[in-house]
Parts: sequence; structure tokens; C-alpha cells
Amino acid sequence: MNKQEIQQEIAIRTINLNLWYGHFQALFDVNLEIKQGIITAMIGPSGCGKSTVLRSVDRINERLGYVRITGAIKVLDKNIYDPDVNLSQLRKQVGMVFQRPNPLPISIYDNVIFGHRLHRPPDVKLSSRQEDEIVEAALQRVLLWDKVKDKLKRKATIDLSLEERQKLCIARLLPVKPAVLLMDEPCSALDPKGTAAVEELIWELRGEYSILLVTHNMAQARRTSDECIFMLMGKVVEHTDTDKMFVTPQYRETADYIEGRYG
Amino acid sequence: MSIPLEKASTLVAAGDVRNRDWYIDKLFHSFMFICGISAVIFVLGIFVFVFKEGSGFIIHQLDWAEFFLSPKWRPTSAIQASYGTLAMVAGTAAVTLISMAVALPFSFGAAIFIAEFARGKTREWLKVVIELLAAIPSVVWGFIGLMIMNPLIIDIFDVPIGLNVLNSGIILGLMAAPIITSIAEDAFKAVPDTYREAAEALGATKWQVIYKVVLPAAKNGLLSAALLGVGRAFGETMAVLMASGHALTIPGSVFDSIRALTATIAAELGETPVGSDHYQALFAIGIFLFSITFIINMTADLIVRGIKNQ
Repeated sequence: MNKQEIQQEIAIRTINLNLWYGHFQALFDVNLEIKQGIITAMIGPSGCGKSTVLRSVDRINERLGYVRITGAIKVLDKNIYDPDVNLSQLRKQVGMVFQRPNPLPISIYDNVIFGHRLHRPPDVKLSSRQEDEIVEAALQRVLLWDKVKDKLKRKATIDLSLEERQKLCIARLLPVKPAVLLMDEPCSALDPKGTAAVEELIWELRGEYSILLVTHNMAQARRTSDECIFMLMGKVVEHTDTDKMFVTPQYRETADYIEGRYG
Repeated sequence: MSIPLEKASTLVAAGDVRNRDWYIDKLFHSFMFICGISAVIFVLGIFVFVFKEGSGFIIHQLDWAEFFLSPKWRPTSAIQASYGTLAMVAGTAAVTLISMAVALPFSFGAAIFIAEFARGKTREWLKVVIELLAAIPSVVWGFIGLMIMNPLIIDIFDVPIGLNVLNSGIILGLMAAPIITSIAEDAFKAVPDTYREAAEALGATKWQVIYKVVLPAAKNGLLSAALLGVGRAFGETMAVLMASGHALTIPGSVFDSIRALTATIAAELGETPVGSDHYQALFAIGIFLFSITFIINMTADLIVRGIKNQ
């Protein structure tokens, strides 16, 4: 794909985003433009707000109940904090992969088809053949099909390795065809081999989905992302091409963090 | 810093360690041990006592077929005494069934509300009130059945008597509700929050999360809650004695009066000569009840253990 072409559209835009957990302000005037079809990594020390930004994009941090937000987040040019936004529809558009793989305690098959069953209109009836195809396609896409095709009906929480579980968690997002994938340190619970496999998969999904990836691992950000965002104390310090950021960072703080002087 | 070898050897060879603290520690230890196993001792003691009183009858005189299959309980008949419990078993079962029909929807609903919806103060208050409900003495429940429910049922359904299966079923259902609620709530709490988060992130609404994820994940806990509720309803005596009418019939509808197994023992034991056949037959009923509640509780416990081992 032509790099110039896929960079035209903006998938996620945050406008003067401020966020409070109770009385604690976690984000200060965050303005970001995440481009469509590429992988954008967010790095920064613990507590810098990178996960908070991520968890605001599908509004999952509202589960906490004491979160307050000003400003706007636009996903595909629609402010997701508008009162007419349907949370379920938003989360169909924006899939999320969590730090610890969290397959549901149902069969592998049911995990993959779960989202599709939620979002298909009630009058649409799929034959089991059609469902089988959806499940197979999703599992093929995450390179898991060959490993699990004989145990699709077994519980997903039992005999899968962490790596396989995380791949399953990515696979279950695909049947509803999201535009954006949010990944919150998707490899931090995995061993080096699993990390490599999941990174490869993320790279594989590039182009088809806009991916926003939070990571603690700078080498990972460097390996897997097109653009990189560095955050510090709830503010965006720098947002640029990954190659540029790791070679010629514009700000002192970025350079210090990349070189490991804090974090 | 390491302790020099010589000093260490003097520590080991310090001689008699049995000073005052050592004795207090041992004493405390034994006392707690006795408290700890006292439950076992009491259960065994009760079992031995009940079994001893009833065993002679069970072994020598009991006609098993009559005991389980005959509805005729005529322990004091001079001509032909008979000891059939079928009517009482049917009555008890009917009341238990109604009580679960009343208790389960309310309790599971309450548990879902407390565990999944209520937050902060509301949740704490609800839990306290439900504990209070559990603390109401059973004779008070019986009184409510007798004085409030009885005329109410007569009025509403236009039946001659309000002391019946329906009345005692509702009363027992309300009595069993707190324990079912509290155990069901524990079952919901035991479902990891990551499941809910995962389902919500996939776009599930609150109801879909509960219906598709939380309920299936908690189903063993809910089953065990229901079983303990059954055990509670089955073994309850005073309230059911007061609200059921205490009539020895196999119920044909919810408006028939019945007599419960427990109520029979409570009503008759005081007027029976110790050691008589009648006395021993009542103990046989006791053993029967004991076995049923034991099996129910055991099953519930095994199910809960099954959850933990998963």
C-alpha cells in the first residue's frame, strides 16, 4: 500500500482532552491525531496517562464510575462523547485488547463468535455453516486456526497458552469488522516467544485496521510502530514518526526517557 | 551479618525452653484446637443420639414399605398403629417447591442487583437489611402466617382456610431468601471482573453481560445457593407448623393444608412416652430428615468446592 495514501485519513482525533479520576487530573489538553491504517505506539513512564487515553477511546474507563472528561474524542469524525452515541456501536467500531489475555469462560468457538452474535441484527439468522466460516476466518487471520481447530468446543480459559489466549482475544474482535484496534500492553504478560508471535500478528493486521498500541517496551514500540507518541505527566510531549523519535527526538524529556534516564 | 558459629551453638544448647511464654502458647494452642473440633464433636454427638433413639425401631419394627409409601400416620391407634410418612413427605415437598418458586426469583434478582448494579451506600444498606431479614425468629414468621397471611388468603382466593401449602410456602420462601441472596451474591462476586470488562469492551450491554457471561460463570454457585435454600425450607419447623394447617393429607392443590415432617416431630414428641414405638418412630423421621439435609448440604458444598478448583 502507498504510505502517502493511507496517511491521509485520521482514525482518532482527540481535541483538548482533559480527564479526571475523582479529583485527580490524569490528562491535560491532549490533542492527538491517530492516522488510519497504521500502527501508532504510545510510550511513557507508568502513570503518564497513555493507558488512560487508550481506555477513553472506547469509553471503557467509564466502568469506574468516577471519571470526568472535557474536550472531545472523534473516532471516524464522530465525537464519541456526544449524547447520541450508542456505546455498543462504538465498541463494535473500536475493539480492545487488554494487558492480560481475558477470554470469556465459554468455548473457543463461542468466544470468537461472541461479538458477532451481539451486534448482528435480531432478524438476521445465520446458519451454523456461516458461523463456522466466520470463526475459521478470524482464527486463520490470527494464525491460531491450526492449533485450535480440533478443540473449538473446549473452554477457552483452560488449555490455551497465554500467547494463544491473547491471539484469541484479538481474533474475537475481527468478526464485527472494527475500524480501530486498541491494544493495552498486549504482550506484557507473555514470554519472549509469545511476544514475538503477537507482534508479528499485530504487524500482519496493519493496513486493515488502525492500531493504537500502548507499551512499556521501547524496543517493541520501535519494532512494531509507524508513529510514536511520547507522554509525560498526562501531557503529550512528542508525536512523530517512530524512526525519527528514536533517532532524533525533538525534546529533552523524550531523549531522556528513550535513553532510559527515567521511567 | 552472620552470627558467629560459637554463639549459634550456645543458642541451640540453651537447655529448657519451657518458660512461661511456652506454656501460655501451648495452652492457647490446645484450647483453640478443642474449639476448632467442637463442631465435629457436636455433630457426631447429635447423630449418635438421634440414631440410638431411633435405631431399635428401624432395625426391629420398621416396615420400610409402609414408612415410605403409606400416607397413614396413626402412631397412637390401639387397634393397628401405622407409621407411614408419605403424606408428610409430599406435604413437605410441596411446601419446599412453592417456597423455592417464591424465593429464587427474588433472591437471584436481589443478588444481581447488589452485586452488579448497586454501589457504595446502597449496596451496604441492602446487605444490612437482608441480614436483618435473616435474623427474624421463625416463630415471628409463623405468627405472620397465622395472623396476616391466613385471612389474606381466605379473602383473596375465597377458600375456607388460609393455613395451607401456599401460606407456608410463601413464609418459608421469605425465610430462605436471605441465605440464598447472600450465597448467590458471593457467587456473582467470585466471577472475575475481567470477564465483565472483556464483554463490555466487545459492546455487550449491562444486561447482556449479566445474561451471557456472569450468570453462566456463576451457575454452580447459584445452584448451591438454591440447594441451601431447599435445605433451609425443608428443615424449618416452627413457622411451617403454624402456617401449614397441620393436616395429614397429600396436597392436591396449593390451598390444601398439609403437615410437615419437622412439624410432626415438634408437635408430637412432647406427648410421647420415652422409648415407646411412637417415640422411636419420631426419631426415625428425625434420621430421615437428617439424611436429607445432610445430602443437600453436602451436594451444595461439593458444588462450591468444584468452583474453587476450576
